[in-house]
Amino acid sequence: MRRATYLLTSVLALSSLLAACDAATGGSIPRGRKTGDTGNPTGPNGETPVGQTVTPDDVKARCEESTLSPPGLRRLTRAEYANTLRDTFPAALNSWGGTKLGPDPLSPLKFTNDGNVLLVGTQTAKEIFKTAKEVAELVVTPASLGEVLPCATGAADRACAETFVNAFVPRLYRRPITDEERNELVDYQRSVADRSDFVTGLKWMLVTILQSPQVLYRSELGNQNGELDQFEIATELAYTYGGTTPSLDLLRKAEQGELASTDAIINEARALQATPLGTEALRNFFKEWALYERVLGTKKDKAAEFGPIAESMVQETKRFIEEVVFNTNGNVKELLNANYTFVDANLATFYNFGTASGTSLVKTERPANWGRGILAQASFLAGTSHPNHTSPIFRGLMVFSRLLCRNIEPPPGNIPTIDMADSKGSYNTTREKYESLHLQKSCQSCHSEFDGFGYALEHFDETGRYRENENGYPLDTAATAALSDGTSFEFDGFEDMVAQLSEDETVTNCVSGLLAAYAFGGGGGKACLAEQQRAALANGEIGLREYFIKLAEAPTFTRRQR
Amino acid sequence: MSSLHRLQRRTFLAALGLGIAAPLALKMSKLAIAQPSGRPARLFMMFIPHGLPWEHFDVKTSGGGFDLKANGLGVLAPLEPWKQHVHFVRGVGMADGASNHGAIRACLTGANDGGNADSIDYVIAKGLGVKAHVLGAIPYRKTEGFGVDSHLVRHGGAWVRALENPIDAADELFEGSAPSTPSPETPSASTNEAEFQNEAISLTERQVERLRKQVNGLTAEETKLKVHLEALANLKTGNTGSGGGPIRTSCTARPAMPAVDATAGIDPLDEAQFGKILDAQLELAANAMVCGTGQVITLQTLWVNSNTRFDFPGGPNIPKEHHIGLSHSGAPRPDYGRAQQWIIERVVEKMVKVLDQPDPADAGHTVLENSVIYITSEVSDGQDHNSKGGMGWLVGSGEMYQALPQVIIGGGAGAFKPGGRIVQVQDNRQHSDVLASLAKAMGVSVSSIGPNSVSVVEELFA
Repeated sequence: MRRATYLLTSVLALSSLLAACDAATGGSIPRGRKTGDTGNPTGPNGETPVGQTVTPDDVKARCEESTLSPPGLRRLTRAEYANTLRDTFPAALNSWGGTKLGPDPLSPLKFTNDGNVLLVGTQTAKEIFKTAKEVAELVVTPASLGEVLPCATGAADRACAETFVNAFVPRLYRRPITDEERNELVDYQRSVADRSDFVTGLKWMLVTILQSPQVLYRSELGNQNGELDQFEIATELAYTYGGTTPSLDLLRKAEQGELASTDAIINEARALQATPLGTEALRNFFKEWALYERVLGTKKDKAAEFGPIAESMVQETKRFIEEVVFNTNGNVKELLNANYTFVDANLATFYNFGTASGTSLVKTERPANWGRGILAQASFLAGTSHPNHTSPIFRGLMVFSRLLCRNIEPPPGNIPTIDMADSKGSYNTTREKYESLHLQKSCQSCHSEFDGFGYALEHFDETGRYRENENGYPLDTAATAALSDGTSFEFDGFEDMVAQLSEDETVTNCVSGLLAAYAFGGGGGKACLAEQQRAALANGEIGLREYFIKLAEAPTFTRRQR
Repeated sequence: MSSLHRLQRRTFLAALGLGIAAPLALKMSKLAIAQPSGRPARLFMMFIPHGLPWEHFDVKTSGGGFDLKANGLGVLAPLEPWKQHVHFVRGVGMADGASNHGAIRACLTGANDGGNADSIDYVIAKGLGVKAHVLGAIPYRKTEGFGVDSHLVRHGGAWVRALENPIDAADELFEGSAPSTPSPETPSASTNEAEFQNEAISLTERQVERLRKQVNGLTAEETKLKVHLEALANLKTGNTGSGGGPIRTSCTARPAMPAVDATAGIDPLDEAQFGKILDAQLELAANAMVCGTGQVITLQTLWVNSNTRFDFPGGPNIPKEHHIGLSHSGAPRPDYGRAQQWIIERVVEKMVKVLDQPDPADAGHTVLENSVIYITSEVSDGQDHNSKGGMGWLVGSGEMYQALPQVIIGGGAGAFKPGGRIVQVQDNRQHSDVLASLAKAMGVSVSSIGPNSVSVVEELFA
């Protein structure tokens, strides 16, 4: 079976092309976009998008030229804030439990690092304050202070407070501190010290530093021409590729103007990405894109002790991504098509293939016709299933939204009543049940877009294990997914579906668009931020890891739309 | 001296006479002037997702009578001893065309998708000059977090993440009060400490102000910093302590709250702890209402599309997910009914029983008589996702009546007609009229909610 494309597709493609021209000439989002713009919240207490946010439909679009993000401030994520504090005070925070921040809010793309969603509402401000206070108290313990500020045990005067500020604030503010800023901080330290003691003054000064907007927000404002300064570029490099605050060496390079060339920027990006925190930063994209941790905490009726197995499933997917993205610099095609996976002893027994002992993950070829790539992994399959049956809907929606970048519209209000007379009322297989229900009335218009992808995966049960049949009844995994734009996928089972998806340019464009959106923190609501780099990935010139690094070459990495 | 001032002074002195510390006595005196009757009203709003199974929920008997056990399991049966305080508003539909699970954002705002409206708790709290507290029993899944399916409460244009941790929430609601059992290891913060905190926050405010000037003209960035500034202002107010100092009388100190204490050290986002967290948040809210340290409190229970399994320890022992496994099931639906009934049981156990005691601020009445407990959901019945009032279709049963669940418990400080009953409204009357009624009971007049004008449900009122 092959993918069928109808006349309507051509019309829509023309529309897209026109939109692309729009973007190329005006730098705007292609026409017809929907945004997550919810207006201009002005209130104190919560987290909600301000300005524009991009949707899946936006990010998969291709444009002739790259566009620029607007100038902006990006609040650090929970992980970035924690890494920043740990890297600035490694000894004092050696056994620190981590920040008090709650979960980062999700963007419409389901990423946790969108600059227009990460706000400081009342609860977040409180959590930041608690974190700052706790860290400050750890830093000013006698043991720590002896190391970070030896003068505190001696003169403990204004000069000593200034020494502290000069030593640590530039790393935290990610730029040189001004005299005004220094004096303001030290004046406060002296004021508190006058009413208590030097160390108490130091503690409260550090609290203000750690909750300062200069720490909490990454500045990507640029100058009047939109050009980011050297320190802003160093900051962008450090967090995007290293997951933490710039090193003193990187700040020195910024100070000396050594981050002016594309080559210098790429070299730094490459070096930072290879660090443990940098690797984690890129891993985090795949975690949020594939949602593979969703399987954690799920229960399965068939497997009483599913927890340890679920943990192994997560490790399997992490290791698989490690192999494809980091070790072999593979692309989207490999993620979908690889004929191997990684199993530990738990999984080898559970899946009934491969040999492994203990918790070591062993690269293992998948049995023929038992699926391929990331979609055949149980972290995905079990994470999108119910305790006692699969969910072709959830599985299909994952393909629909994370590989094809289709907006998931909310179910309509007043879902029509389901007329049981239209269905036979009893079903041999899960597919029969869902088909019977969704073929009715207006359900079909939406479910026909994505259920088919789920039906193709029905040879995997709700635990993610391969099955020949369902309770003795044969499984039909041939299916069709008819998208609303007229595009249609017809496939004869899992392997055929994956083969088609991996060859479909929309899939690579979707993933490259999502990764760009992630790297640029939502891009201030702009898409088409790195078209040259996306083309290189789509053409097979580079793999996913290299694509990520090359995003530092995109115009918006050093410039903003003014 | 006006009558209101006399009343305020009288309550203040009465509270002092009961031994209540001046700051709390002042707060209680403010409570007194909020309600037209002069009695101190409190509001508790609770959201439960995925509607109710009406064949177990409806309190209308076949003869048209009012019986909490009229149908099926009787989801509201645990309220039987307090039946005279139950007002079952029947027939309501969601305002502004909001429907299905997305209607969570309209539940308290009255606006489809939230529009540009603040939620009613914020409107009422603003009207009263008090803070609107938001608690949550929300074990977000690791990959879901705080997203649109959790957006229920909106303050000043921004969706609010509920306080998930009861220990933190207790610190907020009983800020400045002494612990129930003083701990020798944790001396209270010195006066200087509080002063230093506020100075630190003031300094941060100045830094944010400077940055705000720097982004002048960049609307989205200015908005971010405006939100940040208002958050800091709230934080500072909190540090100053609206109550401050030890609380006396029934609240000579922070009340004993064993369910809250039991959550120390546990992860409030762990699904297995849902039962403990729900109990703790209910117990905390109830005690704050008794003491007068929280006058407007919202509790968000789960979120829409939440598939939290209901076999967590201490729960109803139903090994099914709340959204798909329970609310989508076809009739008969004993598990769905039992799960929702279990939540009502917890409300009774941890809140209603606590409130059913003499009001420290109004000795002639109980706190329950001076309270409004409002229970709502985003859909009428989880199975067909309607948010309307009227006849619907239930798989397995056929046609049956359903409407947006609207349960009010408590006397509303004398605002409501005494005696429990069904208040039947015209089918599909917009739920924002009920929200307006809550505001009226609290002494706050509103003429519109969300984009629509509103009128109170007069049948509720004495």
